[in-house]
Amino acid sequence: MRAALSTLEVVRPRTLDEALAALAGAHRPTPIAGGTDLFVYLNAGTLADGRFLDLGGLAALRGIRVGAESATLGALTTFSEIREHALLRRRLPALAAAASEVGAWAIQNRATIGGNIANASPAGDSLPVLLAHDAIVHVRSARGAREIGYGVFHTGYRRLALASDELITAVTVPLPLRGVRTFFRKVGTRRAQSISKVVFCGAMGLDAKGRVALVRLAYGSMAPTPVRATAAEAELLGRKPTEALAAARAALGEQLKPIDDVRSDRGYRMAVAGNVLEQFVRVIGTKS
Amino acid sequence: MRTAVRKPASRAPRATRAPAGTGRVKLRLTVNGRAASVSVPPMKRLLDVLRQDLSLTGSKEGCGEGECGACSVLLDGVLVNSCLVPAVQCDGRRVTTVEGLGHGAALGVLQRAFVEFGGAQCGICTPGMLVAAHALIAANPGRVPRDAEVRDALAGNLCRCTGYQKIVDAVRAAAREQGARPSKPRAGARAAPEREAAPGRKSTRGRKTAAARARGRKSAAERTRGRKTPADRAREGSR
Repeated sequence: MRAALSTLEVVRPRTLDEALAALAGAHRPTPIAGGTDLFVYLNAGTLADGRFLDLGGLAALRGIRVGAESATLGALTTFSEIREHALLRRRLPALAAAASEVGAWAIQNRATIGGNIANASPAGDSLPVLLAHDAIVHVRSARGAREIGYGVFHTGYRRLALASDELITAVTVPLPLRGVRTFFRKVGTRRAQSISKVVFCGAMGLDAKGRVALVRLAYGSMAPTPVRATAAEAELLGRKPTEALAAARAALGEQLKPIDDVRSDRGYRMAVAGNVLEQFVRVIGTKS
Repeated sequence: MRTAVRKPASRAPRATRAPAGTGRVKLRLTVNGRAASVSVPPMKRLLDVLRQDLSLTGSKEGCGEGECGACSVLLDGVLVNSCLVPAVQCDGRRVTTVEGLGHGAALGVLQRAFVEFGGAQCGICTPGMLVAAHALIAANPGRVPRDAEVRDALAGNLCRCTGYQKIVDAVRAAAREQGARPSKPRAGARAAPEREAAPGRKSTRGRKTAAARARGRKSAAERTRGRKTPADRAREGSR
């Protein structure tokens, strides 16, 4: 497998346009940013791709902009940059929390938010955060640019609504509205450097009477894609969260059908998903 | 707004393709302070470039998938798993390996602390541990990281021998010792290689070892334990 690395080619575009032209060409290269997923596949010999597009030189894909209503992160933004960004930590605490629990420092220094999206794993740590915040993915091709909601972008197991000539350039994450509180929880084999058995991001806002006015429950590692627990959300909406908790938990079990795999099994995942929901409701729903 | 650019890649000289058919690129690197030039396949792992092309075998391969940290090196002062970094992305950049932390046979403060505290046992994780610990200390000049901070910084470096506590103690003792005699960081170097006096320049006779000093001192972690990480805050629903 190692020997195969010596046969791989790399295209190094200097501009985004050059990169998009390469993607539109006949022999499409695979984009590589931090390489923290791709090199795992390459080292294991499970990636057949022979040509790569090094995004490292593309300044257009870098930078974090935090506006009044949303934050836009270039696709090459690393999890370290997210974790250490003072304003993001304040305005998007769930994203900062997710960033600080991806792998460990050495991974966070290389792994990018764009890569986490592109890898399209059901267990990607930042993905439930994007889902719970109604994030928008920006993609470009030589044909033009488009924006697409993350919830409809990640369409299936390791599948995205991304054409072969398109590149993820940025993601825009709306800041939680006033009064909306967010929560992130990753459960793995150990605290660092593990792939999630269950990963969760919730957002909740209560009205003046303490009833749920807005709720998002987003889970990773529970389905082929990160998924919103819409049935449980419906149970919570319009009710006091602690009073609706049992019904919401039951609805979770109706909707989500996690699988058994090397990292965990269905029963454990369901129990943890329910416990995490309960933790979220108790921590957030009881405060106002 | 803070730009996320650590070092504009455009400033780095671009890898040039070697004559057609060879499938190699010529790279210029600064490794442990010395200029190096190699001609390698572009997707060759930095780990293999270091070990095979530059004969720096201190960095180890444990898992080959970024889980164990035995291959940890600094790239422009930033901790990375060298088994996950393609050579082509290292052109024009600074690499620091465990070999850059000492001076030949003379150990650095951190290395000595690992020896004194029993933080190095079988030795496979040690080079990566040292580099990761060095990155932590360099990022916190003049400050002794708390126990929890050391554990967070080293969470990507697996050790099967020590149970980690001896490593944590060694790192904190080394930070304490360096804090007492702060070495001048080079401008812009987030984690410059250690520069400290080689033994012999100054008599160490009668000086307490780092371990001895640590044993006689209360842990700073006691005072600051309970400080929260972003993850803790998110769990509590802060916004």
